[in-house]
Amino acid sequence: MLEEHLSALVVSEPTSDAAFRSMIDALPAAIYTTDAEGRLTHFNPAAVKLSGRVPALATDRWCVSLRLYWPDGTPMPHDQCPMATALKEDRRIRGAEAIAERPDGGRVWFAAYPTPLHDRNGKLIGGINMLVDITEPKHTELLLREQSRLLELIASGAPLEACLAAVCAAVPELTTGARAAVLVRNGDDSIARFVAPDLPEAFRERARSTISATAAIWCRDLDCADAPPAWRDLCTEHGIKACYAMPMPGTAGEPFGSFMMCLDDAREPTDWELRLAEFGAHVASIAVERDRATAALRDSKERLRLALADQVRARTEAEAAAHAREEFLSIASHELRNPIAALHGTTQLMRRGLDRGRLDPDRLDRYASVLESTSARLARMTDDLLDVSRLQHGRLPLRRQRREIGVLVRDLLARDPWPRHGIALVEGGPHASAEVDPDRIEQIVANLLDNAVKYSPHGPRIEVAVATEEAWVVISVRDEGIGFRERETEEIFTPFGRSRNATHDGIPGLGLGLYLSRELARRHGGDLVASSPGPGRGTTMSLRLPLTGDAARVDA
Amino acid sequence: MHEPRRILVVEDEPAVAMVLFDLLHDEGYAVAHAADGATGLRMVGDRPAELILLDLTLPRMTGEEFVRRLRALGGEAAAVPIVLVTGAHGGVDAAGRLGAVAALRKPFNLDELLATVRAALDGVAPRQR
Repeated sequence: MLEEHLSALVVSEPTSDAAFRSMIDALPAAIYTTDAEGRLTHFNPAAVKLSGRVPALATDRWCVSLRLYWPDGTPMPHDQCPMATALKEDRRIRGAEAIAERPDGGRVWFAAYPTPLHDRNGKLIGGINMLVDITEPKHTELLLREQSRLLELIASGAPLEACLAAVCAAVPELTTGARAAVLVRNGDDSIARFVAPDLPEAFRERARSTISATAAIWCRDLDCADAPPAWRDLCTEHGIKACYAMPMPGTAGEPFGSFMMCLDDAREPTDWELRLAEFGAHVASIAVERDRATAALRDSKERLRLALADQVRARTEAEAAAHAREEFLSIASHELRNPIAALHGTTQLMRRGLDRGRLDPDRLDRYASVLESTSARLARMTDDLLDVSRLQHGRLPLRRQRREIGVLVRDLLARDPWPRHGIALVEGGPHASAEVDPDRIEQIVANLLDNAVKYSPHGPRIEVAVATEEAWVVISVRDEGIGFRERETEEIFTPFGRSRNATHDGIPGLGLGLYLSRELARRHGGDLVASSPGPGRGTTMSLRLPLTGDAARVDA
Repeated sequence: MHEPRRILVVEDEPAVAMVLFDLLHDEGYAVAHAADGATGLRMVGDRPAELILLDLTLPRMTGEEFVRRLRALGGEAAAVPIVLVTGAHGGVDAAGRLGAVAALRKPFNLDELLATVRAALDGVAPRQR
C-alpha cells in the first residue's frame, strides 16, 4: 500500500526525505503532511492550487486552515475536519466530503483521505492527507439536480414569473453573497419582465422603470467607470457591489434578456458563480421560450378557433339568407294568393251574375269596391316587393328637392283616404325644410299612417306631429293600437319581420313596409325608430330627417 | 220543401269570405261565416254545419288547431266533413293529415268549388285537384 510505504518513509525521515517530497510534489492530488498536533510539515503544489494560498509551515494546522463547510453548507469547526478526526481518533478516513472556502471566496468540494502516521513503536507522529478536488462532479451533480427540478417546474406549465423566480432563487441556494435577477426584453428593447425574488420590491420597481432593457447587459462591474449611472446608483443603494449579466441566448440566436448575478461584494465572480449565471441564463431562456411557444400555440389555437367560428358564422348566415329567401317566396306567394283569389272569385261572381241576370246595382257596387281595394292592395304589395328588390340591388335613386316637411305632411293628410280616418295634425313644424325625395317621404308617412290604421282594430285615434330637434326634423305618428313588445323594437324593421301580436291577430301584411321605410329614411341620412309602452298600448313611429344644410352633405 | 244544407265558411280574408258567401248563398245553401277559429268552433258547437270550408292560415288559432279541437268536441260536430281552401302549398297533404275530404288551392274556380261542395255533402269522395 502506498500509505504504508509513505508511513515508512515519513517515519524514517519525516522532514528531509527528498525522494518522498519530490514524489508527492509530482502527484496531481493535493497532499500535505502534519505532525501529531496537526501542524503542517509539508504540502505539494496541488495543495496550494486547491487552497488558493500558500500555507505557513509549522503554524497552519489541519486542512490547510481553510474555512470549511459540511456538504450541507453548515460551517465545519476545524477540530472536526477529516484530518483532525483522523489524528484524534488515530484512524484512517476514506473520502470524507467537505467544502473549503478559498480566501477569494471561491469554494472547493473535496474528498479527504487522511492517514495517521506512526513510528516503529506505533506512536502517533503525524498524518498525511490527500484532498481530491471533486468540485467539478459535485457542481455538475448540483446543477443537474437543479436543472431537472426547474425543467419539471417549467414543463408543468407554471407561470413564467414563477419559473423565472425559481431560477433566480437557485443562486443564493448554491452560492453565498450573490442574488440573481432575470430581465426579459421585448423586441423593441423595452422591459417585458424583471424578476428578482431575492431583491427588495423597491429595487425591482425602480429597476423596471429606470433601467433600459439593454443597459443591464453591459453592467458587468459597478466599480468600473462604464457602469450606467442609473443602474450603479440603484444597485449600490441596495447593497449590490458588483453585477454580472449573462445574456440569455434565444434559439433564434438573438439574446432576449439577461440573467444577472448581483454580488454583495465588489469582486469578480467566481468560476462557480459564472457557471451558475450561465446555467441561470440557459434555464431562464428555456422558460421564456417555452412561455412564448405556449403563447404562440394559444394564439394560433385562438386564431384557428376564430377562423372556424367565422366559417361557421358565414355558413349560418348563408343558410339564414337561403332560409330567408325561401321564406320570402313562401310568404309572398301565400300573401299574394289571398288578394288574387278575391279578384278571381269576384270576377267569376260578376260573370255568373251577368249570365243569370242577378247582378243588381247593390251587388255590382259591392263587387266593384272589393275589386278596387283588393287590386290597390295587390299593387302596393307588388310595389313593396319591387322596392325591396331595387333597394337590395342598390338601384333606388332619390330625386331630392328642397321641401318644407310640414307642408308635405299636411298635403298628404288632406288626400284620400286619410281624411276618412280623422287623423289629427297636432303640430305643424313651421318652416322646417329638408332636401328629400317627396314621393319617398310620402311613401314612408303613408306607410306609417297605414300601419297606424291597420294596427288600431278598435278605431284609430292617430296623431301626427312635425317638429324640429336640433339639426333634425322629426315626423311622428302616434296611435293607440296593438303596440308591440320591447324586444320586438328592431325585429319589426327586418324584412318580413312582424310583431307577434300582429301575426297573432291575423292582421294581413307582407312585413316589408317598415323595413322599406327605414331603409328609405336612412338613404335620406335620417332614420326611423319605433317605440311602444307594450302590447295593446299604442305605438309611436318617429321619422327623423336632416334639416337643410345637413341634408346636402349626406350622400344620396 | 227541403231544408237548405248548412255550410260554415271559416276564412279571415274578408274579400274571399264574401266570394264564398255570395256563391254558396246564390246556390241555395244556408251559409254562416266565421273570421277566426274560435268563432267557428262556437258556431259548430251551437248547431253543427253539414260541411265546413276551412282556411288553414287563421289568426290566433291555426286551421290545424281548429280541426283538432273540432274532433275533440265529439258527437255530430266531430264528424262534420271539411274541405280545405288554402293559399299554402301542400293543401292535399294537409287534407290527408287532418282527415279533410278535399283541398282547394287559392285562387279557386267557382264551378270546381261548387262541385267539390256537392260531392262532399253527398258523402261521395270528390275528385281532388
